[in-house]
Amino acid sequence: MQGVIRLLLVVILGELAYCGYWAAAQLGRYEPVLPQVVHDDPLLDNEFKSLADAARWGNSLDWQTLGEGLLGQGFYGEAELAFRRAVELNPENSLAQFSLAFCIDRTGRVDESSREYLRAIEITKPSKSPVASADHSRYQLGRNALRKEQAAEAERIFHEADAFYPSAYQYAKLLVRSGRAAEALPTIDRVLEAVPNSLKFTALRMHALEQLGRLPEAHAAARKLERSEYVIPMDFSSNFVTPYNKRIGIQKEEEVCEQLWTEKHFDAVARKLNELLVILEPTSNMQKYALRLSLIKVEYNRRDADAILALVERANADGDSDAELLQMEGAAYAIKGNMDRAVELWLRAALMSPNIPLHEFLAKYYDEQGDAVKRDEQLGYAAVLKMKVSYWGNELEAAREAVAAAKKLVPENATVWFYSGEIEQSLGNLDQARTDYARCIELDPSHGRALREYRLLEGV
Amino acid sequence: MQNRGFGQVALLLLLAVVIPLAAWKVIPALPTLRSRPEVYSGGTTYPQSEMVFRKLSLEPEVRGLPLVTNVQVADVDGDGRQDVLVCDAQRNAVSYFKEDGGTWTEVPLIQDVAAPAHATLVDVDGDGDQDVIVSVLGNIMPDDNVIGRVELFENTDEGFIRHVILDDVRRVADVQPGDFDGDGDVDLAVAVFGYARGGVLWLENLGDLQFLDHELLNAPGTIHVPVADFDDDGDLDITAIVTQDEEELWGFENLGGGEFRGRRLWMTENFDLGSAGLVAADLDGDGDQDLILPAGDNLEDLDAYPQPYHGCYWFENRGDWDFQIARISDLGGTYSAAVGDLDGDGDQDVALVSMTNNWYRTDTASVVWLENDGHQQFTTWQVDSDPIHLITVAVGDLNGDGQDDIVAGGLNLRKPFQRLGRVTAWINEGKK
Repeated sequence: MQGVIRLLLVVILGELAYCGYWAAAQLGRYEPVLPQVVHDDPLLDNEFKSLADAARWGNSLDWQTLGEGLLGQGFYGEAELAFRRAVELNPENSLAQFSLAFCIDRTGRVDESSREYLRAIEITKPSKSPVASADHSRYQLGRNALRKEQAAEAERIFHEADAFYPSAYQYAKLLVRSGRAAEALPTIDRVLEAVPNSLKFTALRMHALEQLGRLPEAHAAARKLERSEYVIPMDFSSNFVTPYNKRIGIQKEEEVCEQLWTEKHFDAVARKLNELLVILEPTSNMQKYALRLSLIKVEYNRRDADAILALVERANADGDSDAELLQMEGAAYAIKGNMDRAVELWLRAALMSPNIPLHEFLAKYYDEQGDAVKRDEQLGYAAVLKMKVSYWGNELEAAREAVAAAKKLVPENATVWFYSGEIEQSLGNLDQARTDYARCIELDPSHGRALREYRLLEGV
Repeated sequence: MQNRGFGQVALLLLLAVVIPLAAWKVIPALPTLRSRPEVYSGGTTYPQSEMVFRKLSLEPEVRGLPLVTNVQVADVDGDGRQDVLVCDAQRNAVSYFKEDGGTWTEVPLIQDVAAPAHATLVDVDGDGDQDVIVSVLGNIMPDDNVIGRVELFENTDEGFIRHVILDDVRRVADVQPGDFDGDGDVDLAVAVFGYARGGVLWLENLGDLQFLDHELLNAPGTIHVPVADFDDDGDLDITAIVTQDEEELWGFENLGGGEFRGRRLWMTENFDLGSAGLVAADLDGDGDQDLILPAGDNLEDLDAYPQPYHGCYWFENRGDWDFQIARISDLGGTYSAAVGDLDGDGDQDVALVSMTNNWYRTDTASVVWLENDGHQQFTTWQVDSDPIHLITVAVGDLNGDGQDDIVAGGLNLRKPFQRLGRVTAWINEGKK
């Protein structure tokens, strides 16, 4: 009997000790702080709660995940606390440290965020991804100096880090803006050699050349700017936050829809979108309107004209009226065989927001009506758009082909001749370019850009 | 003795079971003894205005998410009373509200314009009626594509006739009229906002509604192009605010004969300032045109937040193209400014609206007015914190009582999608 009693006493003492430890841990725990607001996204309450449950007794990574969820939805203050805890639990957690600095940065506490970015630079290991890298932290540090109008300090930071192209850009930009274009050009040219199509560096080069009075080269840079692309990001904020934004809530569900859409499971997408719309119905969440438009496109693929018209009516009742809705409404009437109504709507849409498929729809309609003039006009508009898109995309041979088609279809359209001139000039065919610009001016004497280019070529 | 022993065992057994059960029940419910850490919460609030402004929603029922891009106070229909001209990127239309017997009614003016940013009322063709020139963005969202236009709606007896007078350009944010070449007709200054690329143009009126485009500046993010005789030499000059990381104020001095000399009047390295517009007005009453810069656009962030340098800046015209900058308000997320004598004391005050104050607080200001003490020292007074996401403001006498009122429009592109408004007026009822 005594043995049993002793055993039970040991068990009870063990239980008490554990409970004491448990209670102490409970009383001393870090409680995740969640936003005390009514969310526009009804899914967020539960998602935040489960992230908080995981973080409450979790490790640095769990707190970081909570922080990312909060940051992705714009709750900088609450996210800051989560990242702070993640860093406390693991001072080497560089992503949490960067994220902490970012939250402080975006809420306007510039000096404090700089201190946190410096700490991130110290602990961040080399990474292939630029986002949240040490280079990125240094870049943010330089940008913070810019935000405080400390040009010399910013210049020093960006210059030291100018192997990172965004830093090189800021460095060169500071030089150009302070009248030192000649000093900036080697940096600009170094990057353009590696990334010839960079829009931001091409624009900077244009300004540098203007400042140096090298006007023909500046003009050439301005023309190249039209065919450049935004390939070197200069503001990583959205790049950093967007993946977190899509990780929870309605955005996550929307990603599921997009995946289904990619796989062409239109019935499943429609089902999913309808479910989400029911969830969002009591709210004014912007996604409600975007999802409705997505559903209209799904219904178009399912050839359900009545469903499209019902959704368009709903959108109109909510005050939405745009070219895309008009185009889809027209498509619904086309499915129903009411082509007069469809064309009426498509012409309105084309007036607002011309696009290649729309002109091709209209061309097909006029072809079926036996109206070759109107058919060719619409095909011509489509060719003009193809021509522009190819030119801006720096696909000059494709642009040339589209120009040839457009010249046949709409020979009196001045824009065709202007772009033909642009393309030929870009290919170095200056005589042909001059002829094309001259034809453009003949057709439209108010075409300022054609006049300028023509006069410049006349001076060559 | 044995019974006592059994009793002890039973008691201990009971405790061995009850303790974990009780702990399982009680301990998880124990509150933490750590104090709740303070959540950083920015945003700006101000003392309640001593002038009384009665809020009046011109369209009581808000449908969907309003995307009003511009409001102006003007006599649109020529009846001698002030109306509110509205550009709307949700409905892709231009309309105006007119007051009749205390009730405001919306009158459609133009439909099917893709994201109109601004409507300019001007008699372009000199036939004695007001035509409408619409600055067409093509897309309200960030977009660097060539989708902008300037559309002229010619006022005729049969209604408005559309003429596209400039296309093949990026997003157009503003058009302002003026006879720049001194030939007696109306030319136009154009702000091509674009996104990563844009510029400033002027369009020379060739007659017959034909306009020849001239480039003044190649720079992205030009929002507004106010026109005035800034150098007091008798002709109209153009100014422009360039944003999108550049943050520069430009002046284009009219040299006559259609020639301009461009000069950068001001710049800041602070790419994040968020210049959001430019207004020409004689704020200090010294007879020349100053410039007022609202700053607080940070829509490049997925979730915008007020920054310490946001607010309103006054560029005092000191002559000879010398403009001295002074900060006159720190309203977070300031997006638009309008000038008027709100307190009727003979000097110019300023109304401001915010698009991105900290809206998760309910007390942060969405509408304020800056009281001028007559010496350009300004006191900021809060008018309202609801509706939020206000992007455009105008000042004018809406009810014909001789006092300037305030009207603003909401562009609801960012969270929270709450406290929504489309076109809201604050009727000036004088001092408390």
